[in-house]
Amino acid sequence: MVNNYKQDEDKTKFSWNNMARMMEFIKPYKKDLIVSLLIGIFASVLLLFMPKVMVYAIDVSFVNKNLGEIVFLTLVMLLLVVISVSLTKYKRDKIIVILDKVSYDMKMAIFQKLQVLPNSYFDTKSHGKIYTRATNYPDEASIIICYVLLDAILDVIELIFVVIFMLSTNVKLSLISILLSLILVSFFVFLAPVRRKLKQNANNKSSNVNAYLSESINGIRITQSFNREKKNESILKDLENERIDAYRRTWYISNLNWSLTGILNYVSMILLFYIGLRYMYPIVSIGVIIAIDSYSSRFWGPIEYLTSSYNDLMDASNYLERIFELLDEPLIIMDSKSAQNVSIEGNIEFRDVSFSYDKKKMVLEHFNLKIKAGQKVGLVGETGCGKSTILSLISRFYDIESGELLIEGVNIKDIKLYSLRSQISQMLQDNFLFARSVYDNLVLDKKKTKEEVIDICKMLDIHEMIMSLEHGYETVLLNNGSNLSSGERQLLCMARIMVQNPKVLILDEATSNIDLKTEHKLQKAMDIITKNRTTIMVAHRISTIKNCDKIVLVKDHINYEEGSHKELMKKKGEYYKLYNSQAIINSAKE
Amino acid sequence: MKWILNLNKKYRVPYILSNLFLIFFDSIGFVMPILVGYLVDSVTIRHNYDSIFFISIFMIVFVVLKTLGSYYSVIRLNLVTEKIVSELKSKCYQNINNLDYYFYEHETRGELMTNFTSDMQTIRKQFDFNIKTLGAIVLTFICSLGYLFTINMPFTLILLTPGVLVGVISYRFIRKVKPEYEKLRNIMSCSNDFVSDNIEANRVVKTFAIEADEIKRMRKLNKRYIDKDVSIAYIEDKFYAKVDFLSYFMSVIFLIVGGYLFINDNITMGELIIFNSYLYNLRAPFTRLSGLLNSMERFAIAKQKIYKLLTAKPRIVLDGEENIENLLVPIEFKNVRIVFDDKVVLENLNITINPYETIAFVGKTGSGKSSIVNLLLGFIIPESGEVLINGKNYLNYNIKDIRFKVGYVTQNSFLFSDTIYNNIRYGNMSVTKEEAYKYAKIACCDYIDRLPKGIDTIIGERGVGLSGGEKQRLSLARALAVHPDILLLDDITSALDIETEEKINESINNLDYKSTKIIIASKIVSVMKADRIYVLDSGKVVEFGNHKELMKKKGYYYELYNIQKGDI
Repeated sequence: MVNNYKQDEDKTKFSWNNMARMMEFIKPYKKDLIVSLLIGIFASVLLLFMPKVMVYAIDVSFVNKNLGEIVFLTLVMLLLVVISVSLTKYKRDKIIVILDKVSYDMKMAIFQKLQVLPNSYFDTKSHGKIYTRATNYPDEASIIICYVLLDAILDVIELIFVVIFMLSTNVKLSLISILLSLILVSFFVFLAPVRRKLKQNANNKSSNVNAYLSESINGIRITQSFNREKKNESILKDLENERIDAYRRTWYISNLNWSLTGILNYVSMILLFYIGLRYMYPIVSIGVIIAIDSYSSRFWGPIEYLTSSYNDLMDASNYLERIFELLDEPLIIMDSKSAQNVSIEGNIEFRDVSFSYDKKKMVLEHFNLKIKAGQKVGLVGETGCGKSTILSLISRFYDIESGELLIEGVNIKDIKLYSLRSQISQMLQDNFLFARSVYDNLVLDKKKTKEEVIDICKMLDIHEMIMSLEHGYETVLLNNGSNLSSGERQLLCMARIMVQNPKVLILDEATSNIDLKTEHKLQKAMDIITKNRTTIMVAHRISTIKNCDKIVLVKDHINYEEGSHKELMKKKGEYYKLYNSQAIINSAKE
Repeated sequence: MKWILNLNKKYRVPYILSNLFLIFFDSIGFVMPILVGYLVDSVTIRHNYDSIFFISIFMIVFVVLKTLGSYYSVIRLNLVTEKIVSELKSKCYQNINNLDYYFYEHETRGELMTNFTSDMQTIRKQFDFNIKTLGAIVLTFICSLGYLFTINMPFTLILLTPGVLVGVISYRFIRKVKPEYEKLRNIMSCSNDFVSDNIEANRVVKTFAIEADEIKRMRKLNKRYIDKDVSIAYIEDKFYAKVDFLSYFMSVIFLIVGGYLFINDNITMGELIIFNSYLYNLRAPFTRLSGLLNSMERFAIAKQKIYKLLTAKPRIVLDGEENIENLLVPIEFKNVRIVFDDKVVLENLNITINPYETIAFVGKTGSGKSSIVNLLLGFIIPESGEVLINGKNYLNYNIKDIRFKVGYVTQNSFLFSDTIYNNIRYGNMSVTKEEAYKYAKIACCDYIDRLPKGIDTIIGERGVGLSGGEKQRLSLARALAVHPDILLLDDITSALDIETEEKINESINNLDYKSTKIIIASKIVSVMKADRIYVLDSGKVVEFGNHKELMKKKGYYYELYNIQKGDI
């Protein structure tokens, strides 16, 4: 099912497993994290001494008017400040590095996964949504995880100390705060699934907005030529309103955190004074009550932070689940254990191959085809008959359902993908030029000198076109080469394939946007290039493939007719009809 | 910030009010210690046990009301902020919808997406967090300061001396870090752009098996990003440490100066204790402010970027006053010359298009054919010369009116991830399902019947899942559905086989409305039936006439024809 901007993504289920998996990302930096944690604890303990020094100074040194002691205490204070400030800085520096590395690792993991995901993933998922997962979510998740984790640990430690101090002062009165906090915590734990659901919904809505924006930006020209601006603006508004609405629902819950903690903090204080003064005073002194009060105010601070950390952690889990969902996406097409490198010459065989995209509508059924190394093979047939599918199968963009696809006699599933695809190059219908220089676009990852590249461009007669660009071969192309005409784009893609110098060349309507005069030139260049090279091509115009060694007419899911142009013409079958109809149309026009 | 608030004036008052409410509800908390003091006093001094209950109940009610007030104001503030940002987003979206070619040639998708996502996020944070925090900080600072001034002004001033230094280093910090934030943001935009391209190009990456290279590039970009991020964080941390030190230094000053003053009887013990308890209120603003600075500076950058996007003007403004209802009138290109990116694309163009004619343009790749499309749709305008519609320069008309009457079938058929039905009625929402189906049939989209949900099938982004020819035909159906006066076919036959092309031509001629047809083609078969064919070469019309006339001339067209004839 195609997911577009209108559809929310499926809800995921919470699992502590994902949290545990998050730890995998943190693991490499465990040591640094522990060090910064310890330093953090030490620095805050040091700061606790400051009020003590202050109190002692005021109560003792000031009263005794002992200037020497005051100077000494001032120096002690200065030392405390310097040490704690530098330790804090050290800790911050360390944490940011950890944080960045975690986010880096996560982004790379996602990016690497995107490289191996099958075409079907990209065909059915909104690109804007994939983009959000690959760019925003890792940042969000790692910030929450790193900071929250560290702060939560510090908060817990502080809480333990406060509780111990409190209990040692007066057990009964301390119980007020402790019991109230237990109620609060259990309330939040109870509320967590609701919040989670709301937040996930909000993330979905926000992802829909991004998906819509991304698609709108890509299709801006169509929007403008069809005067759709107003309508699109209202669609965006609706999506935004949905998003804001979803967020608003989360705020009702997320703001409960500080407000309830605040209320309970005061309630516990009031209860403390009420119970203490009404029933325990004067057996329990005012001093004790005030001491418990000051402890309890230091008790509720960490409680508030902890509950909000818990919320943040739940948010992080939402991001993490999406990330892990992507990382866990099954790899339908990947190297098997026994996969090997195969030196490909171009012997390709379809043996009884059946294939469908959706397991329902068969595209190929018991399809057979044998291609010998060095042969030039042309595929013809009506649009949608499966020509492009055959090409996709050879590059193993999809796996066949039954039968066998052999390359050099080896089952395609036993060939390493890199080995396969680096020797077989496709010129796709939907081509893409990267946002880098023309030269880089042509060489990709191959090592070619500039001279070699220029030679090929001259052969294709695009050298001059390239030189007329602002910086020649160094001109950076933007947005899929939007500053070039489609014909120019197609020629560049053609040059790219030639620079790649593959063993097997697959051309899917390679010359559709190129005018005939150029195409004619191109054809000559192609003749040189395809010489001694296995070439498989699809074309609408029989003229393009007439000279192929072998022509295959695809119809009814099989290779309906097969042979050279002459043989097929003699047969007077489908091919003959097709050829004549094209010729008739042609002459009719005259 | 002001201009963002002024975008929609109806949010101005609610925004300011919810901020004020929030600060109000937060600050009335100071009553609580006074009430507690009253409670303690009534027991210990007045021995009035009965009032405890009432005071306690009153306090609880007070706290609950105060918190409810804050809770409500926070949600109000969040909501109005989201609305402000959403308004900003809509306005930006509106603007980019109006921007032309010149803008999109130089702006990358990743940058635009960064504008719409992370820049907007930064702006939101400024509105719903930074401002209220700043308000609260300033308020407590001023209150505490005022109070301490009344107690002992000289001592207060001495305590504040580190504050001056904080001001100086903050200023220096901002000047140093602001360009760095901008660099960081731009690196992020670059890496976003790279990811977006990679997703778009997933098939090409696989075809050339360059996954490893892509990963290497991504690693480099990502590394550059975190290196910059870390280096900025180091600058920030150094700054925070300085501010922390200076603010704690107030305690140091307090000790030594306070001690000195006390010994010399210039300050009383009571005053010292008050100063000690307010020291935190004096010190905290500096530390909190330093934390806010970075997010406010990030806001300043985001604001600039958004402002640029919002105020970007299309180079071509075709908002002529006159309305045009009908494009079935003579259209004339007179001495038109077009320059794009300093290159002459078309020159000396003199063409007449009469209603209901079929006019064709043929020529080599790069001969300027597509510029004619862009010219007609107002994506580019002549540098000199003019386009006359019914005898009047088309700059006098509203471009939207013109586009509304043109059914444009694009070269690379861009489709939206939506149902086939919605794609067909993209330019004319009033088209019913039956009509849409009819247009689909005219455009030979027979494959629709084979799809699981027919016309309601959702197609993937850019129409993935459909073959090139299938997409092309759908984009033709989309153009037919707007009942155009001019049908503009930009090299649409490229992905079609000849039979389909012929069938389409026939059904277009039998449409229930009549239109002028303009065909751009690289192949002569597609244009032979045209009333007039213009042959373009390097931006100039080299020949024109109908097929027969051109054949007689034995010129460029004849040559093209022969090359093609040999191929059929």
